[in-house]
Amino acid sequence: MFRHGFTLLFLLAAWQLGAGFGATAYYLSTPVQVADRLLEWSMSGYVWPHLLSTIECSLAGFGVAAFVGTLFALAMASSPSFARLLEPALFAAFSTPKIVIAPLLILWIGVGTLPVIALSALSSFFVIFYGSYGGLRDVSGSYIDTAAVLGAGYWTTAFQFRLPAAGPYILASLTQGLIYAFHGAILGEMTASDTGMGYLIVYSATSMDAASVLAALAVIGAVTFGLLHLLASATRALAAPLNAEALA
Amino acid sequence: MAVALESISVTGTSVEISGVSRVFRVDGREVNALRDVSLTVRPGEFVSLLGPSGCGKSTMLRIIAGLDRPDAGECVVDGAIVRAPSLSRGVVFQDHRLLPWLTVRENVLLALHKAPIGQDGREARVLELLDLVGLSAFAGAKPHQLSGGMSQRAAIARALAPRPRLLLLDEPLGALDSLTRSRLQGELLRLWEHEKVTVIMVTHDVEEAVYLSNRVFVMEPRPGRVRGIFDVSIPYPRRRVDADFVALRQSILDILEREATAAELTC
Amino acid sequence: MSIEVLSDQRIASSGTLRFARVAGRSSALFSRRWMKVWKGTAMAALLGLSLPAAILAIWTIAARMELVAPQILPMPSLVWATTWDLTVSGDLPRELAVSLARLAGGLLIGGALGLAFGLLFGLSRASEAYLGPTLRAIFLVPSLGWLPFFMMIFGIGETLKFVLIAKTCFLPLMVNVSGAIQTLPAKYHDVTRCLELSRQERLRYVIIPSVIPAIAIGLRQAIAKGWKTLILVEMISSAAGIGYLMMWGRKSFQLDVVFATMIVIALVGLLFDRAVLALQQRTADWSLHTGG
Ligand SMILES: Nc1ncnc2c1ncn2[C@@H]1O[C@H](COP(=O)(O)OP(=O)(O)O)[C@@H](O)[C@H]1O
Ligand SMILES: [Mg+2]
Repeated sequence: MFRHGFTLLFLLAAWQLGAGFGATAYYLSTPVQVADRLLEWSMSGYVWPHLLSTIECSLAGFGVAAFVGTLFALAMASSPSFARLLEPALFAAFSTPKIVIAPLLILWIGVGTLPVIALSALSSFFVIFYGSYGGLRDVSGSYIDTAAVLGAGYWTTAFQFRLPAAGPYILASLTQGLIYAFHGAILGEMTASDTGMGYLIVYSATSMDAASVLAALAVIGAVTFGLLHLLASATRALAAPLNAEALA
Repeated sequence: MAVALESISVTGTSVEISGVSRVFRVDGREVNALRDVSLTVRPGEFVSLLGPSGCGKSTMLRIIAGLDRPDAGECVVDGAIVRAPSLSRGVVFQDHRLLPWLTVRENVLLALHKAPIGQDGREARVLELLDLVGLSAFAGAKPHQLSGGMSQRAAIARALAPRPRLLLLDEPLGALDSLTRSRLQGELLRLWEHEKVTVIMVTHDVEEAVYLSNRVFVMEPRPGRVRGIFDVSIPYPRRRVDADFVALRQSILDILEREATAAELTC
Repeated sequence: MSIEVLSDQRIASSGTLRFARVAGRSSALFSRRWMKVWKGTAMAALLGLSLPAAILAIWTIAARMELVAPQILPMPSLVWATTWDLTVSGDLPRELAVSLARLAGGLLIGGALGLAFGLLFGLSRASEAYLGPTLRAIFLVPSLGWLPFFMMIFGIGETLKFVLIAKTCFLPLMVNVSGAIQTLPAKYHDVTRCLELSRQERLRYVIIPSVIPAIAIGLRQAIAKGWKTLILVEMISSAAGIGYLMMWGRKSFQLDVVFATMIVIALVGLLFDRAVLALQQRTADWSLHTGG
């Protein structure tokens, strides 16, 4: 445990002590100042509405992306012709920076929560779609054959064989999508909003308030860390029965 | 046995295993992979370790190779206690474990990195071995271009390259189809005679053990130990349909059968 | 963090499969037996293009009938003309060159550092224990979050872009390379021991070659993420580059310029992705993690 925190403590100490000497102190602030700001924010309640707004937008965006993403993935995995129709366009869009849509979003739907949700949804849609689609499409042929032998129809095969068999992959991509939704929302707030953690960063930066910028980054890092742990435990929990099956 | 051994000039090592035990901890439980196993292998001999899976055959082989250390007892090869792996003991695993980015030739050459025979000598030795295992035409091929049988031939060539005095085989033919398998069994015998090494082979195939070995050690699990030793005095080349062969195979099978029933009853 | 990358790898490998299929199809172009398959590929291409074509048609109709104001949705023909003009005038190639140079510089610095730390963490558990958690914690905050802070420290000059792209490209290489070494199957360790390979020989013959597929995967993620981050930073604080050109178009309400740059940004992203995917496909053959 000491080893894990050693470098961090060392860096923080060096930063705290070094900041007093150089002329960059003003830009860098100090760890104590940042901690102080975090404390002040949580006491006065200043940060909560921003954090809440970001989380709300992330969840809304994630909800849309999760629904549409898995639906597309399932439809394309179940129907080769549908897949051939959509695959090239979706794969091309996957490697395109989603931020390019931001200026258009602002023009089309203005500034506020709506473009933030849209950007959040767009960011996480592709991760969810791509991960679930891979899992759903590569479902072992023996499951599908079993379904056929049992006389399952199209919908039964899709929902009772394909979907459960690809469950772990879908869950992994959903949890990963949650992180992308969170970061997408912050991205949206930085460009097209007047609330939220992303806005808080930009606002603090324009007023040259380094301590606030770093405090906001710490909050974002903490939330991401929590989400990553959720992802890790979800993946572990689901991988366990899968491994047992592989061994049997 | 006597016939085969006298006809070759022996360079293989002897192996003496005395009181070897090995315990693994799995989820807090103790698994006795080996308990107080003692056995001796004579220079130039071909012996098999035979038994159902989980009876500690691989563990035994890994201890002889120096890949694992016993908790008690010791393993002496050619008068010296085994403490670490050595090029003087060649190992072939069930999967070929060739390095996928090297060609067959380079894979074998890698095992010669310590051979004091110069670059030309090494190249010559590689060619000789590839010829011996019938892979000359595939010297430049990458492992993923080879079939299962060919990969195992390459792995055997790699193990034999540095002229080990002991060859350790862990179910080397276990993953092959039965036709390839019986062909490679014949080739193993040929290699054994050509290289004059001591061979210890792990297998769970009774026929394979009887076909190849001078002696068969039958092992049983929980705890892993030697149940019986069979001398196979049928002269080489052996025929699988001879009365002697069939009778010996059957008596080994009977022991294994009884063992399995006993194990089921105690479980 | 490693889990995120793991499932990115899944994505990468499913892409690889597709690629292998298509590559298999287009070989032996002239054989009669393959004509049918070739026709199938052409059909697939047609089918795949039908969706973009449909979108283009709806867009044209909407714009022509002025269902939407032209300030909000320019005509496709105008976007095409603008793309052409910007290309011929040299504006677009110049801005694109600026962007590509920034990406290359950042990738070189960040990628090399990521590779070095990945090797270090993979080879030494102690270094991972001391440095790993701190580095990962710092990189947990997405690049876009760091942008305003970096702007305060580095200003809005070229340094900012290089630092940010380098920061973005660092993690994919570090995570993939260290992960590949740490998950190297133990059975190959047995082989190196049996062959009495020294530490250097083990590095040269086993470890370095075994991480090459991971480097390809890391490179692909680094380029994709680096490109996204670069566009973002150019949109927010730059006076040159393709992202700047786009923002300039928006600020001067020339939506045709916005659309033109959007298309170029998407195409370049796609081109990079396919190119690195091809590289990744070449290294996939010798993966110790999947092969027998
Ligand atoms: N590295 C290990 N860790 C824990 N248990 C092991 C390990 N290696 C072997 N065992 C256990 O020891 C027993 C004997 O294994 P092994 O020697 O592989 O048997 P065999 O090769 O005869 O099938 C088995 O119960 C196995 O689960
Ligand atoms: Mg075994």
